[in-house]
Amino acid sequence: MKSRTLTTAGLGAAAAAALTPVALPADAAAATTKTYKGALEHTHYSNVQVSITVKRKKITSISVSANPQDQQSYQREAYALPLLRKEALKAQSYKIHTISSVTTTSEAFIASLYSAMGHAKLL
Amino acid sequence: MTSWFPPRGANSSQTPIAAAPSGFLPTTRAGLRHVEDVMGMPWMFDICDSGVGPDALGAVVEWLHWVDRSFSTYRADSEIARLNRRELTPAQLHPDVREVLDRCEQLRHETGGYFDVAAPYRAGSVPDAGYGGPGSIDPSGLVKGWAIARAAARLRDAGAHNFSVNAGGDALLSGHPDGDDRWRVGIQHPRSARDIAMTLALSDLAIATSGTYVRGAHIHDPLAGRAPSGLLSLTIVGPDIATADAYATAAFAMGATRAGHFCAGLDGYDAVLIRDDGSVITTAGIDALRYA
Repeated sequence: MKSRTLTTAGLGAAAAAALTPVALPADAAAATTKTYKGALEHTHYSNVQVSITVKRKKITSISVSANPQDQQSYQREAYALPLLRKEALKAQSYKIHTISSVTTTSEAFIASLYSAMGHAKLL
Repeated sequence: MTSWFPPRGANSSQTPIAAAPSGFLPTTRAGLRHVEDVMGMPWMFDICDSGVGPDALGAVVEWLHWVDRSFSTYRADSEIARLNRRELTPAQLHPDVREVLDRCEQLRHETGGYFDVAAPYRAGSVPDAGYGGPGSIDPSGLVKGWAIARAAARLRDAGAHNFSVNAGGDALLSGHPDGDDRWRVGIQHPRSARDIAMTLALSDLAIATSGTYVRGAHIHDPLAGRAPSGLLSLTIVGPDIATADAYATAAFAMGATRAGHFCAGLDGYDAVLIRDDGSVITTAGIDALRYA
């Protein structure tokens, strides 16, 4: 798996950024099963966070949080235009199930995955 | 809408995501949740029905990869690429491919030429649209929506009633989620990707949004050959995801004024237009779909 999955070739800037310094837990190489979370990526698709479960240096599962059912709330920054701000302030207190957006590429997803792999010392 | 995205290097089935041992994940809730990287975008499945097994979802995902192989303009051996090179005649195409191309042609008429599979290859419109020269076509603006609808039909055949499928920001909402009678769907804020501009509550409806891409305009007016003006994003809600997606793509390309008229005249489809002066315009049916 390593030779194919651990290259950054073809990945976007967001993925490359996720690969730079990550804290490596001391027990990552142990034979225990452990779950690592990737960075919360906000690129394009509102919030995407990938968690991987690792056993004996192999990924045994990947899970993805992509909506506020996972206790994420949508905060907005204090800018933008008057009517939109009104809408957004109203919307931010809601929990949503999914989001309709301009087409999202896989980059945010990949970036978060690589971040999680970095934490698990698989990179 | 995918038509104008740059190639992503490796084709999607060879990306790191697919190569990693993914599989279907147990959740704290009943049902299945799964993310698959197909067609260069994340496909998110949220199936609330407990009776739908990983095998049924796996078959749907496998079929989606077949769609990618058949339709991608970035794969030299796809039917579309071979059609563009004149290696296949329309009569030799897979019936599903022909079905999509026929619907594209219908939509070109319905939208007054604004939904146009030939636009990506028209001189000067985009720097790179995959394999194919002038005169080629790229139906990917419809393929995603068509594939979402087919995937949903397959899930229903497998016994699913309450589920959502979201492919790169376009979503189909079937039934209702756990603990709620409608799916709450945020419309992305066009000026801030992590924010929501409006929340709708939807059941048995589909929603698609077109807009200017964060890195710059990615939808061009196929008639004028330039980026449309006056709109930041345009969202269409209605019964069919493929139609909603195509309408959103076409109407956004029209620019604010023409899009307003187009959306007001749609039958069975509603729209949210966010204009570049910050104003939000909705068609009459949106009021009943607003959350809270």
